[in-house]
Amino acid sequence: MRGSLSIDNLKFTYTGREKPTIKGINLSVQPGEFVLLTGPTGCGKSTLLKTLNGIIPHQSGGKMEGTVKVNGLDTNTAEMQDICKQVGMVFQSPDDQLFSTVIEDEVAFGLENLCLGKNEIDRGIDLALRKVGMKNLRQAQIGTLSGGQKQRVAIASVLAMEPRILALDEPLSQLDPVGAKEVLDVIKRLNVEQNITVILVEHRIHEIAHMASRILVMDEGKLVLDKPTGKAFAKLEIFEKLGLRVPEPIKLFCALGFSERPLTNKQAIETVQDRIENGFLKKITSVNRDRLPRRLGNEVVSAKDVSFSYSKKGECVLKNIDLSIREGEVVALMGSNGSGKTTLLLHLAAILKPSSGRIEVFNADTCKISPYSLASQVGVVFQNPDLMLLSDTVWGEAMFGPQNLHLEKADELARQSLEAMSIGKLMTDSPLALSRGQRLRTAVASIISMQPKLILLDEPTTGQDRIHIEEMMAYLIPKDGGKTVVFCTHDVQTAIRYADTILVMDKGVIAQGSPESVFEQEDILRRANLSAPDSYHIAKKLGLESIFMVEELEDTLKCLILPH
Amino acid sequence: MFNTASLIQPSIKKTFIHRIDPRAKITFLLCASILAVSLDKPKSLFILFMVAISSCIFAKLPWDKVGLLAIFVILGMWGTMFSQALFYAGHPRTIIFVLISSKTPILGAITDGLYVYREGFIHGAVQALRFSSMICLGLLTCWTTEPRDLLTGLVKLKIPYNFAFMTITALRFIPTVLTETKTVIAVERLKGFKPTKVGIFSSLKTAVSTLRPILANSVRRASTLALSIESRAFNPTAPRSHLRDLRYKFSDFLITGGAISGSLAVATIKIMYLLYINEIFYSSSLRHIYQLAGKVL
Repeated sequence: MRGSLSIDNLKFTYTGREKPTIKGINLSVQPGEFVLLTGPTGCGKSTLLKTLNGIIPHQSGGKMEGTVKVNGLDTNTAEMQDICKQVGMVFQSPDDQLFSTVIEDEVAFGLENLCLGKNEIDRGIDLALRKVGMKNLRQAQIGTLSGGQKQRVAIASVLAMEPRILALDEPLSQLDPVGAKEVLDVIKRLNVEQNITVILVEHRIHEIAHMASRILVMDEGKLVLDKPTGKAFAKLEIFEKLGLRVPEPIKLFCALGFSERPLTNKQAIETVQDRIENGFLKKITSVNRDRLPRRLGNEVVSAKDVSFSYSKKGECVLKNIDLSIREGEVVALMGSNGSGKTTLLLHLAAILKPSSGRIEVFNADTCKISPYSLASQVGVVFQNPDLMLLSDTVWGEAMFGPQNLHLEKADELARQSLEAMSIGKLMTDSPLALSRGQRLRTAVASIISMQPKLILLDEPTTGQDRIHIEEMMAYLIPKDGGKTVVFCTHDVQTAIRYADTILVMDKGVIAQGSPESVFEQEDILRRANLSAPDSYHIAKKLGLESIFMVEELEDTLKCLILPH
Repeated sequence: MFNTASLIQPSIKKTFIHRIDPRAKITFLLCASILAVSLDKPKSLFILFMVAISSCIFAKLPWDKVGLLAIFVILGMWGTMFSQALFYAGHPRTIIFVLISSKTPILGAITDGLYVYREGFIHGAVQALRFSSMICLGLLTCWTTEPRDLLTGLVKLKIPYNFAFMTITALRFIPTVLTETKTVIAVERLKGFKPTKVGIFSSLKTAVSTLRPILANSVRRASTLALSIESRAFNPTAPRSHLRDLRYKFSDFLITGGAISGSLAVATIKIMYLLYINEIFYSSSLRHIYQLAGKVL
C-alpha cells in the first residue's frame, strides 16, 4: 500500500562495533500516519531512519538482519533509485545537505538523477516548491534564505521525487522558533492534505506531540514505547527516565494527579475550567510568586551606545546597545536568528570590536585588548562544540587552557572540570569519537578548567537532551550564585528557569528585565518571534499572574485541589 | 575587512565577459595556461597579463574583489621578483644593487655577499606575469559565472559528473570553512593559545590544533552531504538528465576558436624552436618562425 512501512526483527551493527545499534525492532506504519520517533542521544533513532530509505545497508557497510519494507519494496534487495522514490529523507542541518546555489537546481537534482525529461523536471520543481510554499522563490539564491526556508527547500528537494513517506531527522534542531514553525506547518500540511506518511525524529517532543498521531520512544536500540499520541503520556516514567521533555500541560496534569492528558494549552485550560465548575478545584484567585533576586556584585560588563556592522556600508547588526552586567548575574539573550545575539556575545569576548560606542569587560576597553588577554577571565562556549575541540584526548582538551595560561594545579582543575561534566571516565578517549552531548560537555569542561569569571554560552541547548541541559546549567549556574553567565537561547523554558535578566534583541535591545517582566510584554514577544511558555498561558487564562514555570503552576494548583 | 562569502560568490552583471558561455571561458582558461607555460619573454607575457587585466576591467568587478585580486597580484609579483633577484643562480648575471658586500665583516663571510641581480629580476618578472595572468583569469571565470553554469559547462565539456560536482560543491563550502577557521582561531586565543607565536614547534602545534576541528567538521559535513545526495538517487556511474542547457553564441565560437588556434600556434612554434636549438630538427624555410620564437615569444 502507498505510504506503508513494515519493519520485521531489524538488527543493525556498524562496522567495527561489537554491539548492535538496532536490537530487534518490529514496526508497522500505515499510510498517512504522523509518527514522532524520539529517545535520548545515541539510542539509534537516526540509524533506524537510515534503514528506511536504503542508506542502510546499501551505502553504509555494517551488518543488517531482518527486513524493512516500504510500500512492499524490500530495501535490502531493491535499488536505491527505486527506494528513493518511496521514501524522502531530510537531515538536521539545512546548510550541510544543500549544495546548490540556486533553489531550482537543488530541487531538480533528484529528478535529474532519475533521468527524467526537461518538461517533467520542470513540472516536478514547480509542484514540489508549491507544496512547501516557495514557488515564487524558484530562482532565489539559497545563501539568501533563512534557516526555515532552507529546510523547506531540503523538503522540496525530496518531495520532487514524489515519495509517499517522508523521514525527517531532527529537522528543527538548528532553527529558531519562526523557522521551526514554518517547517512544522509544511510537514503537517503534507501529512493532512497529501496524506504523506511522516516519520519525524525529534527531541523537542513538547513542540510536536500535538501534531503526531503516534509516538515511538527508543532506548539503547529498542522500541520501549509505541502508542497513539493520546495514550503515550499515560505514564511519564519512561520520558522522565530517559530525560525527554514532555509537553508542559501533560507534565502539569500528571503532577496534579489528573487523568486527562492535554496536548495543547487550549485543552488544558478547558479541562481545568471544567474541574472548577464541577467543584474539583477551588475558585482561583490571583497569586503573586515573585522570585527572590540573586545577590549581585560589582559591574563586570558595561556597554555604552554600542553599534556594529560587519562592513562599512553594511546593515547595523547591533544598534545603540546599552548594557550592564554585574558579578553573579545570569543573562539570557533572546531573539530571532540574525537579531544580533551571537554578535553581542562575541563583543563581550573582545573577538569583535564595536563600530561605535564602548564596551568594558572587567574594566578593560575591548577595543584596546585582544581575546588572548581575556583568556583567564572570559570563557566562551560556541554553538558548534566541534570547533572547540583542539586536542587528541578529552584530558588534553581540559588541560589545553590551564597549560597555556600556566595555571597552578592545572591537573586538578582539569580533573575537576571533567568530573563536573560527568565525563571523567572518558579522559583517554578522542573527543571526535564522542556523542554530540559528550562533545559539548568536553567543550564546556575545556572552558571551566580555566576558571573564567564570566562564561558566555552560544545556544548551549541546541540538539541536547533535557538531562544534559540540566546537568550543564546546574554546574554553570549554581543555585547559590557566584558565577556570571551570559547565554544566547531560543529556548524560553531554559531562559526563564536560569536567567535573572532577559535581553530581547532585534538588532538593538528591545526589552530588558526579569523573565517575568519581559514575558508579560506580548508586543515585544511578537516582534522577537518569541512565545511565553505554556504554563504562563494556562495560568493567565485561569487568572493567575506571574507564573511562568510548570512547577510554579503545579504548586499553585495543588493547593487548590479539593478533596473528593 | 573582506566578507569571505561575497568574495567567493560570483557577482552577476550584464557585461560581455559575464555573457560568455562557461565552456568558452573554461577553454580560454586552458588555452591561457598553455600560453603561460609556452611563452617565456617578458613582453609577450606582459601582453597576456594585460589581456587578463583588461578582461577584469571589462567585467566591472566589485571593489572588494578588485582589492583581493590586487593583493594577490602585487604580493605575488613583489615576492617572486624580489626573491628571484636575490637568489638567481644562473649565469651570466649582472649586479644592480648591493645589499651586503662580501667584504662586510661577519655577515659578508656568512652570506658570501647579498646582491640584487638584473637577470634574476627579469626571470622573477617572467614567473610573476605567468602566475598573475592565471590568477586573474581563474578568479575572473569563477567571479563572472554562476556555479550552476560552471557545472553544466564542465559536464558539457565531458568532464566526469563526479569530478565537476565535487569541484563546484567545494567552491560552495569555502566560505563556511573560512568562517569556521576564524572561530577556531578565536577559540585558541580564548584558551590562552597564541597562534602567532614564532618557532617550528609552535607553528606545527598551531597547524595541528587549528586543522583538527576544521577537518573533523568538514568530514562530518561531507558525510551528511553524501547521505543527502544518495537519498536523492544519485549514482555516480548511472546516466542522468540535465535541466539546464547552454547555448553557444557566435562570439563564443570566436573566443574558443581564437584561443585554441592562438595557443596551438604558439605551442607549435615553441616546439619547432626547441627542436632547432637542441639541434634535433632544422628547416631553412622556418627561419622567420625561429626568429619570432627567439625574440618575441
